[in-house]
Amino acid sequence: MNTISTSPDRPVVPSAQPIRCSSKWANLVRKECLESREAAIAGLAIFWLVPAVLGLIELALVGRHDVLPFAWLLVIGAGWLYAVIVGAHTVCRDWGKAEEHFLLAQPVSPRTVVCAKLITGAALVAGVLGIAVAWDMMLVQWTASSALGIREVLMIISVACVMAAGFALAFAVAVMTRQMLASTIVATLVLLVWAIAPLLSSHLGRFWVPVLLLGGQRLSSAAPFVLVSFAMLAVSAAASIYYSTRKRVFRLGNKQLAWIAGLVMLTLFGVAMGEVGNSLHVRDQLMLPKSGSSAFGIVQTIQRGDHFLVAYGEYGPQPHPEMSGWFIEAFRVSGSGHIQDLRRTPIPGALPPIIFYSQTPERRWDLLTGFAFDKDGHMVVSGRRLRVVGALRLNGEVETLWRTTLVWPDGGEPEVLSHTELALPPGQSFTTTGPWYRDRDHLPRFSYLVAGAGGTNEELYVFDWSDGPNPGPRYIIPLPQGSPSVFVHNGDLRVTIGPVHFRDQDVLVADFDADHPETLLDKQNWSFHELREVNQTPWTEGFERFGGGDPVVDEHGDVAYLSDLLGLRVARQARPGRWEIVGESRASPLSMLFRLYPRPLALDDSLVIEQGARGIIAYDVSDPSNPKRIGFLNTPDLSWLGLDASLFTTGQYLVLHETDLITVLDRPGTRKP
Amino acid sequence: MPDVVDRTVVRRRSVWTALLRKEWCEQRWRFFLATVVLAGLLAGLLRAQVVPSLEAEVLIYGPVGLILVIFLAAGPVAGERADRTWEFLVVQPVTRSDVILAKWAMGVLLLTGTMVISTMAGLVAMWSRGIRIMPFVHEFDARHSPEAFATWSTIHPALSLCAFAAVGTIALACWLTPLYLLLTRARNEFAAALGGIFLTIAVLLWLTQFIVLMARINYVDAAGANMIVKTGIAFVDDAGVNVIAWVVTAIWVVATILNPLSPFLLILAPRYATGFGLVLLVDLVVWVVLPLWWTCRNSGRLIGKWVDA
Repeated sequence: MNTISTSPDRPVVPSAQPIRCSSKWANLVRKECLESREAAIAGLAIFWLVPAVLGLIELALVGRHDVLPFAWLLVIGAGWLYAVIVGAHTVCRDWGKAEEHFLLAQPVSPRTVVCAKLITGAALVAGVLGIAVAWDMMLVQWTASSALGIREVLMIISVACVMAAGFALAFAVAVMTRQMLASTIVATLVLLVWAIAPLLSSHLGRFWVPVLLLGGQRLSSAAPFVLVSFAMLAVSAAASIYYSTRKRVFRLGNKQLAWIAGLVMLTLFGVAMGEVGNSLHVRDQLMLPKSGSSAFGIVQTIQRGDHFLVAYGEYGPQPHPEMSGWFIEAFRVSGSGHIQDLRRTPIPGALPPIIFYSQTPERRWDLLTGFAFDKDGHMVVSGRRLRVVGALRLNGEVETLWRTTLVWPDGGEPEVLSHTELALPPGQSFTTTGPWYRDRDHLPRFSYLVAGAGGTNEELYVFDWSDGPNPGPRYIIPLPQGSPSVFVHNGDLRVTIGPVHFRDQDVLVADFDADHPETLLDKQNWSFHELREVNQTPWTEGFERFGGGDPVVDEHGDVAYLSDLLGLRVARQARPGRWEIVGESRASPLSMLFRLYPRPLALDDSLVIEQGARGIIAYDVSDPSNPKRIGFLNTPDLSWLGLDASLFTTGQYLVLHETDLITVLDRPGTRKP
Repeated sequence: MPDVVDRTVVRRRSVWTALLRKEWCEQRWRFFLATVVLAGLLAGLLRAQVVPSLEAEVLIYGPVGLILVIFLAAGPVAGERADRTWEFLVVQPVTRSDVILAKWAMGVLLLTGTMVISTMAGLVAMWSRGIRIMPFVHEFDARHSPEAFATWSTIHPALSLCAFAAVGTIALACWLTPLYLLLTRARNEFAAALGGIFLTIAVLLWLTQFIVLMARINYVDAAGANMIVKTGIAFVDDAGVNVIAWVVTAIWVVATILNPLSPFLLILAPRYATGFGLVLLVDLVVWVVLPLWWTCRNSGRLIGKWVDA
């Protein structure tokens, strides 16, 4: 940089002619352009040359150019950082150094200098990214199989907004601090907050770029995002110009910067944990098998008041297969939430579960299928007896269905009241229809088994437990062709045709009442329809939301709770058959990560528990127009094991049963002793 | 002359005390900041219980712990050089090895203090929501296998937090020592931080290779023949399988020793509980004792040359 030296005894003679404004600007812009050459070269190399070379190679090899190639990943991943560094460097390369005094000694105002820097820096960023984008769009236009869609346009807008805001912020902070590191870090932190804050609040969700891209079907959906970036741009530019004339500078040392970064990180983290955390208090836990053993085939937990009973299978460690058996464990949840009065007994008459590695000569084993109270309050355990088929102990054939009724007085031994067996017709191969007691409050009268295999000539055998010992099947119902599957669950019998492993895809189902098998005899009742959750409650048709999936409903009179991936909604029946949404607790983008197959369960008028594959969420619905999330508990996804967590409630506590673990939790909204 | 000996001892002790006090005064803000951030993150994640406790420990003690190491290693010497106080320090009547050792000792103390306080905060946070055992859903018979730390941690979350924190402290100290010594070359803290980031990334990449290797060892143990077929040795008898298993195990031992962060992985691997204590000891010797011994021995020449360059 050239400098003019003057002798101290000779005053500087002011120019006879005032410098024209346009030449002042031209000189300043020329100076800034010259000093920005390195940044421009680096930017063009990173954002245009490298992607261009790769794009041309791709074009030569594949013959076409993708709509979202590597260039865009680079712009999205590093464009904001480039804009921030250019913004900070444009100011700090001379502002705050000795050159600043030289510049201010020239016949230009500081405001003019800063404005020239701002315009030149913005033009540099826009130019570099503009060339990169224009090149890519040109290639896309010529070679891509699909043209730019609304999603790509939204992405270009969002990237441009982020870069413009990042540049302006870094520039403004650089003018205020004259420090490269400080301006880079502060601008990065602001962008970080801008990126993360919409994740943490459903109200700010519209400012989150991925939501913008996923849900944006219109250009107008980008309006809030663009408005915020324009606001940041305007505020930053105004602050830059205002602070350019001020002598006072905010100096930020390494210590202050580190504290700012740390505290911003902690604040964001704290808000995030408040959004998805708030775990329910764990009062007590019980692991079911004895020490050294393992539990499997846990059938059911049943409840009467604050007393609980769990039926499960257990097998011992390898040298001790004799420890295996079927057991019932009883316990009580005390007023302080602790598990007390723990008792355990083997199930009378049940053969132990098979141990595949065992060398014992046993060829028969029992499999528990149900556990419930009957109308007299007696425990009823049911199961099937299987016989080993072939050399492999893995395969079994159902021989008998059995049901045992027993009582277990406090402090006494269990006493068998009755034991009934249903021998299956010989020569038939039977497959099961699922655990037919699950989630039942009362004992079902009928058992269902499918005879035959291969999807042809299959028949549904219906056994009636009220027929007395060793009865034959009450009904034998031919099943339709096409590999049908039969599931009995929670009092419903569902016959499914189609690929059952893929939900909502080409699956047809017919539903029946499991307590009235005679309805299956009438072919007019066999109406197959698509498998969709809304079919369970037809009025929810029309309440589906984009990205939310089918809502699952828990109906209580005139009030219903609808859960989907986007949150919980409260609906009220305004008049018969007409429901309207009266309140909603919308999930933030972050909390959506912890929602999978949510199912609402209203415990009373003020508390709804949403149980899903990734945890349970508690809502306070005492004000239906404003349901609030008040608790959460992380639970592992058991769906891939074909298992499900069961939730029970006592006066003050929730009892959660997951595989071999019982957990007592505080019930939200109740006062604890 | 006992009097002279006593004076020498007293003088040396007072020099060390003075050096440590000076380091504490200069570095304490780092300690407070690191403790606030690490304890806040760990306690927040454990209290929220959005992920199982072991995952929370790995997430916080792993990446955030490494940032903490860079933060503690980058400052001591580079800061002195940037502020032009290094020259003043080395003309004092102390050796360079004393200065280097005092700065290292304060770094390790700060690291240990941060980890201890954070772990205590984590325990309090865990306790405040009720310490929760997680249901085990992977293998039916693995719940009680003592060698599987991940399994064990589901039943003993508080103990596993303490154990993981202790191992993490050792692993981080193993990386802090060489990183601190290498970063004495940096002229300022910015350069030191950048160097620390690049070196840590390199170590992590090497650790990734180590994970792949460990997966292969598991594969050999589980189904040696398949592994052999896969690696191209088609016909090998049982003795051959054993030889290959021994060779791979030897490679594993060497790889373990050559990576300062390997304890982080070894504690999570179910098969290597038996020699874990020995591995920790060897790691400490290789990555802490040897570099410090070498530094003290050569501090007059090599370190001095680095720092004065």
